[in-house]
Amino acid sequence: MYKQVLAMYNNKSIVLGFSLLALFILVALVPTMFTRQSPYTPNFDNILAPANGQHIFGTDELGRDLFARIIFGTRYAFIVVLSVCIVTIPLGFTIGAIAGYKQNFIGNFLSRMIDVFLALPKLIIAMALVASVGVGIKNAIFAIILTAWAPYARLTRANVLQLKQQDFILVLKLQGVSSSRILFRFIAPLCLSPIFLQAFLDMSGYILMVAGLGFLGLGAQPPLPEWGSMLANAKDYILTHWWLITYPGGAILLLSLSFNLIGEGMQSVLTNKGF
Amino acid sequence: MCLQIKAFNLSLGSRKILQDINLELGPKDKLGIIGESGSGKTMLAKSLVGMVPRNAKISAEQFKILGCNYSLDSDYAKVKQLAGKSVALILQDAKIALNPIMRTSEHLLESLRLAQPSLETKDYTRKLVKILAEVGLGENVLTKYPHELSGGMAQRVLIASMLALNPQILIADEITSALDNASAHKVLELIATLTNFYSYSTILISHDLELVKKYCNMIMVMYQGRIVEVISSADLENSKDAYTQFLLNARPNKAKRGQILSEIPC
Amino acid sequence: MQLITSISLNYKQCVNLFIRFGITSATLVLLVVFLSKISPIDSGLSRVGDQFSDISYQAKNVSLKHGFGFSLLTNNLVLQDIKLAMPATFELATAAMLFAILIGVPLGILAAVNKDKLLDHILRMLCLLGNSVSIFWLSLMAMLLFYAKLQLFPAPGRVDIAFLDEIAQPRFLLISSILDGNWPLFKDALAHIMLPALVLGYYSLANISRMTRLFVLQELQQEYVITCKLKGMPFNQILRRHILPNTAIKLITVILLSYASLLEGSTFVENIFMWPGIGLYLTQSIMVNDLNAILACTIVIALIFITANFICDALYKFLDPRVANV
Repeated sequence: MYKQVLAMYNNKSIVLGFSLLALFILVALVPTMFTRQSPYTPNFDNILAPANGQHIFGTDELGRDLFARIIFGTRYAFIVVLSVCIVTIPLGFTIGAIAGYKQNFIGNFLSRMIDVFLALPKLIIAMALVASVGVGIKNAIFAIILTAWAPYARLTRANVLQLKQQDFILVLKLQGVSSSRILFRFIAPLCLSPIFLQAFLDMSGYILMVAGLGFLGLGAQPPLPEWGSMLANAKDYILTHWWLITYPGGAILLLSLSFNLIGEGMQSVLTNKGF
Repeated sequence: MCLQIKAFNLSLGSRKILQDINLELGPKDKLGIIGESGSGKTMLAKSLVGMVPRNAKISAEQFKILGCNYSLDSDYAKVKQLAGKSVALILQDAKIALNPIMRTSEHLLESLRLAQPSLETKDYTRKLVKILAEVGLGENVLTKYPHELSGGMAQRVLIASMLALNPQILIADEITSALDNASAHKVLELIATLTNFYSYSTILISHDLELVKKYCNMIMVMYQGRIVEVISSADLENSKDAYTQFLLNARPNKAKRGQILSEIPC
Repeated sequence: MQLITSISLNYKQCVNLFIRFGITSATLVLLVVFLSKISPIDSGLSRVGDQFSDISYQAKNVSLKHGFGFSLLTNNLVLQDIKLAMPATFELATAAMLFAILIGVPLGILAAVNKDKLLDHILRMLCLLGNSVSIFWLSLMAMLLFYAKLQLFPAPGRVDIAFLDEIAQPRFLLISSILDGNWPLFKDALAHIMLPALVLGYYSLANISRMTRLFVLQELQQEYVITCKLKGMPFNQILRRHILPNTAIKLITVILLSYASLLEGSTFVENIFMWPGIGLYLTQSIMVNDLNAILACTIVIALIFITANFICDALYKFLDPRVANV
């Protein structure tokens, strides 16, 4: 384990991704350190201004400072990623573990459920969900959770199926250890590594998904400074005011890139198959 | 003389893999190379076809294959061209060594085409049939995939596809290690017959003393990259060398039943 | 040389696959119906003031029999709108896929053969960016750069205003204009499809080239490559006759899955480039809260996606002779 952590320090991908991520985390935690402008106060005298001394990135269509909105929007990106991860990973893990371990009706049913949700297109279903049930960032998070738990369940199920055959499990069963204890205390810790890896790779996907939903007006609602909805508002002005889409989109790109870098680096460290 | 190598050295970084190797082979000679795993047998075989690792350092006093002298500093790349044309190296696990999505007929035709690129289809077919007969395979293997063949049959297909290239030197690298005893004997019998018929120079690499003693006329014992001794197979049991004696005594046989086998010291 | 070597239809596996397909589709339809029932949006109410007030009951009915109800946007049956929109999306997706395959596969092979050299690093960075960029942002930037600033490509849309009535019927413009010999239409359609196809294809390009590189690297490590080298085969021949066929078998499933996921990406691309496909229809229906259209599009797109997934599963079992005969 220690050797792996050491290998991570030497991996260029991880280092780069991590520093980028750390920067974003800092921005999310103390946004006021980076800008003194408010992301919410409109200023109708100064709408759609290009970059100038007072507004580093210019202003949007209501006169709000774009830089400040991007800085404060970092929070929403992290809120989404964290909320989704906190729910999907344990949920997917539990469902996958039960599906892999038990062969009875529940296990089979859960297994089928995993297959079904794996085959569904995530974004489309999420869009349908939010569009029907109601817009807002909470519903967007809920929709992403519903469509994104399946990969973790699949990973866990595969690992549990494999580990179930091992002799040490048989020994535990003969000792009379209950199934749930075997599952969660002995098998579970061995499955964590690929889930961890998949989580990082998926996190960039969550950001892109919530930005996409925001772009269609399904995510965070105005006046929240969420990057996707900022792009939606700016869509009509891009031909003449290019900065309105370049900077928020660039922020999405960089944050997503940082997660991808970490994920790819971990893949080549943790698995030998990472070419 | 087909093969004349004097004082061949190969080192990888600071490790010396092969030291002071001398080889002399003529037509119809069958040399068996015996040694433990890691004694450098495979590396020696590969260096005869020019397949050494990129950062390996090689040197030799003389490196003469089929009458051509190769200077190892500058000409070694030319040795690589011998692969498939005059020197054939046959690998160990035939089922893996054959492309799993190609049928036997395709494997053999490919070799035939490489050897003689511009013949008519009926010539190829004729040669195909001839080569199948030589290795003792029926025509029913032609449509089979490698995973559908038994170990012995797959090994024969591999041998056939190598022989189709008309080599003059055959190197068989542990080709019987993945086979059961009966198949192993049959395959080596085949190699011996072909060597006599076509006047090949054959090198048989193995870790099985009995097989090598039966099918080769000279035996070379290797240990950790060096040649321990070169002895004719008739004299093997009377070898004076300590290491060879260890190898001979480590073989299980009926007389030693119930006794603990002697171990080879590290 | 044949790729599909032995299609051994294992009866039990077939039935298994069909059952899973059926369950998934059924779940999808159930989900959609559930959404339509619990949704607070009342499509009937949105048509207040409409003289066809008795149709407002049908408007809530998401059934195929009634053609999925009426669209708020076009006042047509949703089913008709979808029928009109599908060829446009299909055309765009196919163009994007062609681009992705024709550029992605050679790039992947080159990167694998030149591993750890400059070309390899460039490709990996390209793939990384492809996974991190949001497709709508890329479309916007592309439109900004190539249409507004550089003026290389025409305005968003499928054809110029002059040709608008050509797309009133569902058809594949590029193919039918060639067959009719209508060259101005063909040139116009081609010019319009290029930029959205390039943007949409970029995602698939990143994925396909990365998988190609991975597969070729895996094949290069196999024993049979050594056997070929021992036979004295030149490297080009090894690549062409041994490595590529083995890689192609694995790539087919990747390509098919990529094609299906293009549908998701085309939602945004069509929106920005005003391409009259099902993605544009879906996003515009979302804007006006037209529940029938939204759910109908969801069913259609999701069904195509599921079908592609199951075809992939089936192909994977049948294409590899080692797996097929087990």
